[in-house]
Amino acid sequence: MVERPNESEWIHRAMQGDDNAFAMLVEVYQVPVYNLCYRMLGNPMEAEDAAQEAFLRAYKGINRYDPERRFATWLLSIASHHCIDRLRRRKYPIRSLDELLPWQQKADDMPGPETALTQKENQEAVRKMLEQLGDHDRMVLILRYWYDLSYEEIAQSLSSSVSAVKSRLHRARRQLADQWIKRTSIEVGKQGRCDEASAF
Amino acid sequence: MKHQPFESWLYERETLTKDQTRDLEDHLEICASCRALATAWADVEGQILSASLIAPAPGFSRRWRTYLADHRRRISHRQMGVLLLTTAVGLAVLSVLFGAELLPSLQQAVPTLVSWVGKVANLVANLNVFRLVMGILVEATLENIPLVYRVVLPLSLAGLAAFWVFSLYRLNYRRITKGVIS
Ligand SMILES: [Zn+2]
Repeated sequence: MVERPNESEWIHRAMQGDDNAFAMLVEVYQVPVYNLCYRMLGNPMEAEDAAQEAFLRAYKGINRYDPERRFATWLLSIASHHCIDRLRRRKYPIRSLDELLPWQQKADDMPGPETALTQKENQEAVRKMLEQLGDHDRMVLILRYWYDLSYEEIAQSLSSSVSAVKSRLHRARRQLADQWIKRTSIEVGKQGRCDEASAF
Repeated sequence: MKHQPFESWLYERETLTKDQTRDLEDHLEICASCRALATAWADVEGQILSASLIAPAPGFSRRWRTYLADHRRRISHRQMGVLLLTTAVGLAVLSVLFGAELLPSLQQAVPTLVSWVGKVANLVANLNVFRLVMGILVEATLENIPLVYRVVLPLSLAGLAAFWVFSLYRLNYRRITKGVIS
């Protein structure tokens, strides 16, 4: 996420109480913030509410923003803390919609029908596997892969240490690899049984 | 076969040195178990890297403005509620604390208040008498004062008053000017 030329001006004006300038920042950062909330909470409605609340918290705390820091990182940090808080308060496990809503279909995913199906299944499998991770481990993974944050930036965003971030990322990757192997072996087993049945 | 530290290195490739990366690749050549993990992680990582950002429903910024307005309204209602509640509680506490003490005092003060009202009424009546007496005196005195004095005396008094006001003004003005210069 590269900062726009006008961004520092909008931030400056927002810090002086200009609501329109802050609305411009909302316009620019709605997708990254919403995506973070969606990946963490797994539900479009809750993600929408969490993203709105994250922007509200940023709006109220804009005067605490340190211009030396990247605005995107600061904003994602607020959204991350808010999502973790929500998950902590939540008593039921993540329950996402099976299908993405129409506006959530990604424009760059336009392969052929068969490839598209496999791709969709794989994406769905990865999404479910992500949901199995611990909240903090999932957050570290999301910040690393979707936002390309450095270990230091992730640590700063989550009020954690670099070594803790590395350890969480390591654990998340290992867990995902283990789950992928299990999934693949189950599918191979299913495939084998289908082949045997069709031979008879 | 010994899998460590290679199994751990699979998930930390970006932090490995060149030698460690070469050692890991050598191990993967001969270890099917670590190779399976490496392939699995590469698959998952590929899926994650190919997943793009998901956008909210159109009109997010518009909904944000509504969200902000709702928040402000809630805060305003809450503040008004807190104010009313605090006032009500304060009045209730005051009446509980001092009500019992103030009620007898108020009852005792009634005769005093009545007598004060009488005194004020007397004073007003006396003032009327005083004005009447003073009017008669002034009238009698004016009749005995020559016309020259009747004109000169007020003019002198007016001149003195003007001089007094001018002196006060000069004193204040000079003090301010000095204050500014210093
Ligand atoms: Zn091995």
